[in-house]
Order: sequence, then C-alpha cells, then structure tokens
Amino acid sequence: MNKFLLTAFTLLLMCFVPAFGQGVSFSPVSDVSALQRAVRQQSEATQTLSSLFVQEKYLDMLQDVLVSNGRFMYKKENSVRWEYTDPIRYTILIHDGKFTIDNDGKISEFSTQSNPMFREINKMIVTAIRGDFVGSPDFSPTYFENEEQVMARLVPASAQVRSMIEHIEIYFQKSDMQVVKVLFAEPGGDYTAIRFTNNLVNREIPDSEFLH
Amino acid sequence: MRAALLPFSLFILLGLLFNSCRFSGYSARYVSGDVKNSRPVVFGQDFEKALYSTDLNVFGRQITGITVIKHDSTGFHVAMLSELGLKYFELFFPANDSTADEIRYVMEVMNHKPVTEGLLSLYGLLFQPPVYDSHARFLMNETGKTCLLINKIEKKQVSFYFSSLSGEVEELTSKKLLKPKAEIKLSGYGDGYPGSLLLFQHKLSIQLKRL
Repeated sequence: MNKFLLTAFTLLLMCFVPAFGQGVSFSPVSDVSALQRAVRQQSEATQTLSSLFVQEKYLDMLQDVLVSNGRFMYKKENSVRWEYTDPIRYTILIHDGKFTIDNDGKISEFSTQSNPMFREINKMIVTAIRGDFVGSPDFSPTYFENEEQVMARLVPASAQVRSMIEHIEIYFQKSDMQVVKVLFAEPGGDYTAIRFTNNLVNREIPDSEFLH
Repeated sequence: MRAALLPFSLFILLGLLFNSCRFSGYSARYVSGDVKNSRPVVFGQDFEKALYSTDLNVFGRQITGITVIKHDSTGFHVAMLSELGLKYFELFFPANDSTADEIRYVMEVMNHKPVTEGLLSLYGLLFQPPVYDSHARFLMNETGKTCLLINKIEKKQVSFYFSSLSGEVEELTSKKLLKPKAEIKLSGYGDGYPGSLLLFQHKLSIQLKRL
C-alpha cells in the first residue's frame, strides 16, 4: 500500500511545481540560469494558489481518454487540497502535519510526522513549490521554450520510478509564470495530462479549505 | 487395515455429500420449455465501455481507483488506474479462444504470480462466455426465477446463476481441482451491463461500482 501511495503522491506532487506555459514548437532554452531564477522568484512570491483542472488519461491500448475534473488549492507553507469532483469524489488534504484522504466519504488520516512516507511526501511538496526541482538530484531536467511558454522535461533519476514514468513535462506560461499543464509520460505510450485553468494567485484561502 | 480405511471412507462420503448439496435447490426437473431458451448475459451485445470505482484488496493491501472495461471486436480490455491516473494493470481477454488471456501491463510492485494469476482468473471468469455443449447442464430453482448453467471448460467447472426472465447473471463461480474457488456477485444492471460487482478468490477481492 505504501509503495502505491508513494508513487501516486509523487505524481501528484509534480503538479505543484511552480513555473510557466506551453506552445507549438519548442526549442532548447538558451539561458537556463535565468529560467531557474525566474522559477524561484515566482515560487517565493506565491503565498496561495488555486485553480480548476482537467485530467486526461490516455490509454494507448484502449485508444481511449478518461477525463476527470477537479480543483486544486495551495497555501504556504505546505497546505494542499487536491480534489476530484467528477467522475469520482476523491480529495487529498495536507495541512498541519496531517495527510487526509476522503474517498467518497471514507476518511483515512495519516500523520506526516509519525509516518516516514508522508513525512517524505510533505518534504517533497515544499521542495516542489519552492522550485527546487531545478537542481534536484531526483530528476534530470532539460528546458525548452517558444514564444508563449517554457517546458521543463524531467527524467526521473531512479530506474524504479522510470519503469512507471518515462518523463514529466511541465508547461509554464511565460506571461505570468503559472503552470498551465503537466504531462506524465508512461512507458508504452500512455500518458496523463493535467490542464490548469482559472488560476488565482495570492487570493485569500481560509484554513478550513484544508480541513476535513 | 479396516481401521485405516475408515477415515478414508468417511472422507469420500463427506465428499459425495458435499457434491450432492452443491446446487441445493436447483434441479433439472424445474426446467420448463420456455426457460430452456434463456441465456446468461453479463455484458450485452452492444456493450462498448464501462467505468467503475474500484476497491482492490490484494493480500491485505487495499488499493482504490478506477477500472475501465472496454469491448471491441478483438475482445475485452480491462485497466485499473489510481485516482491520479497511474496505471496499476492492464489485461486483455481475446474473443478468439485460440489466443491466451494476457497481462499487457502490471505495476512492478504488483507483479507477483499469485496476484497476476488471480486477476486473470477473476476477470477471465467475468468474460467467460457460456457454452452449450454435451457437457452443459441446465438447472432451475424452485421459484422459477433463477437458472443455473453448469459448464465444464478446460478442467474447470463454471457455473452461471442468472435470471430466467432477463438473462442477467447474478453469480458466477469457477472451481478447479487444487485451485481456490473464484466467485463473482453481480447486480444493479442498467444499459446492458452490471452496476455493481464483487469478485473474490482466495486473498484477492475486487469491488466495482459503476461511475
């Protein structure tokens, strides 16, 4: 169970990385240091984030796309709400050292302090939101850009993670440094694409949004 | 010698008793002419795709997610994903009997023989088409509401319990010597497929609810 959850949450956490957007044809970023600085500046300036998302899971063998909808909220230092509203009702809440999963009314609660797995996840969230993924030993990054967007392609360093995720693409909108799309490419041609819309930055979010 | 044979004889006797009670309440003598034409149906002819919320319990570990079942001309495809989109496994059950059921993908941490065999066995039973050959037995319960079709398929005994009126399968079981029994309970039919399923075999159980 722990391995399954850890993997699932690892994928989720990648969605919280602050950055910019997406475009048509991408070419390598010429000034990587400037990009890294921009990512860090943006993450430091971000106190809260909220958005709606559409998740598309493409299954190559089934030649089919499964679509889920939901909403996402983040508040510094590390409060997170990741909520699916359709077709399932499933919410992950992280707040005040607690990890809560509400699976259609069935509540599971974990302490991030007493549980090493959730402590690690908690640490990863903070790292991701601060933009530390840029120099992270867990990923080998390459950066691309076009006129509107920057795309960070992260290849997991761990062979075990690579057996599930070939690479992750994070698309940032250059104009406001917001994440607009995250794509997880799996071996065999499957992928999960999450598109963010209605992004609201530094809007007041009460703590009650992160509590069950 | 006689003393040594006694436990053996008792064992045989118990076996026979158990055998005779297996389909308690069902008999060929309740079968009327009209009912003989009833056919068990799990997924109707027009079935293409279904989504289910899923609780998978595998050797004490509980995993939740979404299962997609898709049918096309090649056969049945099944995939289970986490709520976040991560794929746990993908199976294929060909329409053509000459091709073996197949695990197309299974996450490394789940890739253990008892798990993969259990998944193939349970979903294989779910997609098992009924056979009307010389070995098939057709029984009926006293109420006349439920039919029982018993097939012998590759050393397995597969039983279809289904409604005499609609053909909707309510229960499926598969028994094979020295193998754990596989069972599936089905209910809540709508749009030509079941809305709720409970599949279980030994230490593997899967609960599916239509989304």
